[in-house]
Amino acid sequence: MTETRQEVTVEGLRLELLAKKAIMIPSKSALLIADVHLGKVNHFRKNGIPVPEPAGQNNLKRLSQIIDSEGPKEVIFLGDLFHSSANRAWPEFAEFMAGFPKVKFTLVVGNHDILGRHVFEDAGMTVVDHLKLGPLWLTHDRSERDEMFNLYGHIHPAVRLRGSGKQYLKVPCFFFNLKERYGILPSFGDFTGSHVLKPDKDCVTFVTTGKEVLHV
Amino acid sequence: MQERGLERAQKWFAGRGWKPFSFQEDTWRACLSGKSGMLNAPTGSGKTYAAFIGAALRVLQNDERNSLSGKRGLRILWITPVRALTKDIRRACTEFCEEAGIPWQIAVRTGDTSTAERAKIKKKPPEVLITTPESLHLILASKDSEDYLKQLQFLVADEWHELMGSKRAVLLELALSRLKAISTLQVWGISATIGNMEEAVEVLLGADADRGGHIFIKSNLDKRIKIIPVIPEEIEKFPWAGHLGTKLAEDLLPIIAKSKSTLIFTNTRAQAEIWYQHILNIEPDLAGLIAMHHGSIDRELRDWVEDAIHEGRLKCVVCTSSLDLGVDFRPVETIVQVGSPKGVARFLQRAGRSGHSPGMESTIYFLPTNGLQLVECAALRRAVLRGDMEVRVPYIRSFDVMVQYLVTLAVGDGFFPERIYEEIKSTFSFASISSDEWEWALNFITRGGQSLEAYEEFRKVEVMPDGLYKVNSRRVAMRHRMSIGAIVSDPMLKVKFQKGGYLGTVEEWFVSRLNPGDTFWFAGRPLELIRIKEMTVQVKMSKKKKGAVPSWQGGRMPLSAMLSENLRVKIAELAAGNCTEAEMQAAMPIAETQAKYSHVPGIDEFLIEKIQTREGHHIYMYPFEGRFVHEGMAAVMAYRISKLTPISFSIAVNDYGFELLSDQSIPLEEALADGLFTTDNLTADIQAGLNKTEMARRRFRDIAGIAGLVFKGFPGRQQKEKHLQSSSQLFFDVFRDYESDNLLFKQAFDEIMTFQVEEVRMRNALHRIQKQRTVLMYPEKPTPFCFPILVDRLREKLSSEKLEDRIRKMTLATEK
Repeated sequence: MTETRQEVTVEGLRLELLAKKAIMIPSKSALLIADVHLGKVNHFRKNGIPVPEPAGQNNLKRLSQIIDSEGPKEVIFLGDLFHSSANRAWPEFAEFMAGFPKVKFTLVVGNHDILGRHVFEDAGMTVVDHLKLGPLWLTHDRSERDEMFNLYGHIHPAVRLRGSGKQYLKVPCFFFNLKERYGILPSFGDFTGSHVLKPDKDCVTFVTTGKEVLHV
Repeated sequence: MQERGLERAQKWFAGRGWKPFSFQEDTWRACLSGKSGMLNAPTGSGKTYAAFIGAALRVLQNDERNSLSGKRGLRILWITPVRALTKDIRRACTEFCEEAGIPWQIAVRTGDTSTAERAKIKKKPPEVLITTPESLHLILASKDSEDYLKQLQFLVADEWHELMGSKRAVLLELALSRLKAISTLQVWGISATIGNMEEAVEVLLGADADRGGHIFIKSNLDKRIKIIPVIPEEIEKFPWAGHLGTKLAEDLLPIIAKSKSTLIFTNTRAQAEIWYQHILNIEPDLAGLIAMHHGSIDRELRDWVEDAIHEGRLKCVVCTSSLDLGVDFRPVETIVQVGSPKGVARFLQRAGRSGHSPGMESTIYFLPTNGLQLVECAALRRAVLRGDMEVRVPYIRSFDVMVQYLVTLAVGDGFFPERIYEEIKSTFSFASISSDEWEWALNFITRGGQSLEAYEEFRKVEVMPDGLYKVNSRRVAMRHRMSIGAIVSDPMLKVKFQKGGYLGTVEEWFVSRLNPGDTFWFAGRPLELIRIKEMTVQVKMSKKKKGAVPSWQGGRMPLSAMLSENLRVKIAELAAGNCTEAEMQAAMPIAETQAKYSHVPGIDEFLIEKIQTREGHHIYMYPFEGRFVHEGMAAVMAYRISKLTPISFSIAVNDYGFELLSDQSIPLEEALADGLFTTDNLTADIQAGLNKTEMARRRFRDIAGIAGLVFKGFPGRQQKEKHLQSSSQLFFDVFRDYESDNLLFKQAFDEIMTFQVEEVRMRNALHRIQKQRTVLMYPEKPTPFCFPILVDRLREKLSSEKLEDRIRKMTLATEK
């Protein structure tokens, strides 16, 4: 059995956690994606650090697959959409969005998104600092407001798993804390790395291998 | 004219009441005759006088001939692997020059040299510059370096044996290839004895060695060595890794007491901290007379310790390999080695730190930190008697270093590829480089590995209209200068008192586990962590006596092949029960316990143990080949077994053997029947095994650092370069996925094949094992042999299961 998605219900809203590192909310027809870090490879190369160029090109391919298969009306990026100051990955992405005229693209600004609001807006995006979506409060990093359930990215969460025979694995994950009412999305982008979190008893964690998403 | 030079040296010696050794006079003559060569002489033999005086006389002769006398300009480069040695060398050189009436400037340039001093050296070149391979590259990375180095006539590579087995030797080889093109250069190496002396000459001299005419001089000074084991009254039958054996510290006190001055060598910095603390605890009278010396302690503190040893003011110093080399410590009478030195050469080098005067006997005490090390002691004794000495395998085709070097040249005056290609081919390391590989490197630094057609934003080295390869961006240049070198270390944080006072450095990962208020031991003091601010750990003295000791990584040296060979002989003696040496007799109880639970392998036997515990199913094999080879062999064995059934292993190794551990039953018997140790398909199985483990990934860490892929940021300017932070891990993955023909990526695998797997050695080991009788035991509980491996937590993994299936069997790791 391949488990390509898992369901969680948060404050009465059904979320689908996709193995491809995004969250689909069918009732809102919204697709949530965090930390794509577009242009990171180009930024490195511009500064003389030779990351293989194709490493940055897969992001758009994966984005397009996921939009095609989920068919959302709105795609909401939870920050760090673009890694650095402008480079040629930006016009590529603007063109990419133009290929989906029926989809609304929204950016919740992250610390890496230094391009300037008008650059995003010129490409047809809606830019916000945070966003209310039903019972959810969408931000890039954790919000200090606690009256709503906070969904964010920024951290690139992963967990360490242990098996018998001294086996360990580090896997990216969706990380929810239902008591403190927050959830964190894994980073979507290639070439982004991850940060290990240590869950306590109030946490619910779903790891993703890119092919399957599993509750642990 | 030659004779006149010689007279000058002889006169100076006579004036000091000395008589030159014949190897010194031979070296002077060889230098004066214009030859290059190698001087094979141990530390403390007067080698500096041999090489420096030879070089100085030759330069004076040349200058007189070319009417350059009195004209300024750099004449002699003295390359040393350790900064600590520069002071001593400078002292020796200055004494000679002053007393022999040579009006030269002698300067030191290392990473410790201040900016002002560097500027001075740059503006007014000294005649003699004492420096490191890294600092030499920094000179090449500066403007007008060619002009600066034009007058150079002589280069001496001191302690060459120390550089030889590292990438720093490649740095020097490359620099030499450039220097030889700039000036007419005589090159000399000074080296202690190693197993591949001839190769050492070839590596240093490069293509010049093939042309012959160079000279090899060996000092005939014999050092006698007395090895005394410190034997515990009661032997722990279950020696385990990490057991530091401070119990035996009591036995050290009389040794320290009766000696004028004692050096206690430990293998790791953490061990040094622990032993220092412990000795002071049991003998408080030593306060003020005992000190500690290791690489993470502040330079000033270390200088103080070195001076104090030199002047005989200290009774005892606990140290690490930081005191292996150089500095003349005449007052030191006794050496103690704590734990296995892992190699014959290192053991001898340390032993040689006592009785530093030529002809004196050196005494070294061997203090085992677990019972099995008593057998190692006997193995060492055997190796020393037989004159066995390790080979230092030189790095070849280190493309990471070459890429760095090319950018270094581009940051300096720039370079024309055709010229540099010829120079690089003349080095030992890159003698086999093909034109395709060369083109790859040029492409890598100019277009970041992309094809010519691709629209490119890549910016590093630019090709100017006249074909000159040059770095024009000041930022790229600055970033590059910051990361020149071939030593890659973990991010380090400074340790400082809140009120000021610098103590040294610790690894970031150690501090990251501490909370404010926690106590840790550093530089021999209990310190309380106040806060971490930027790259500094602020501390104050703690009143607590207990606390964590930083463990600096990278302290795990593998047992050398030479020592392994001797160890196998000694283990077989243990099996046969014919032990003569005291340390072997002391180890007998361990052998008896091992024999009771399992078996002690004789010379024609190969021992495998299969055990089941709560943790899972374990297999132990004991090739006694040393940690590195075991890593490779374990990967191959695990891979071969994993072809029989989907299975996941965690792998642990030590110098005696290795463990394969799985959550499910391991089909060992089936694998043995299938020919587990066969050499058929070995090459393919090694490759497949490596691909499935993390070994290459670990190797790649250094490569990424040296080749400038991973940049740690400017000190104090972390923020600005934040968007360029990444890890070698990420690079490894993207190269694997998108550019697997990248030479740096391939280099990681080549290095494993050269230094760890050593296919030839593995093949030999497997042939040996095939001829041996396999003794498969099923002990009910862990044996003395397997226990140290069982408790080891640093593990490699190999799996033939689907990732998702593995996750299904796992749970969240909750402990710290």
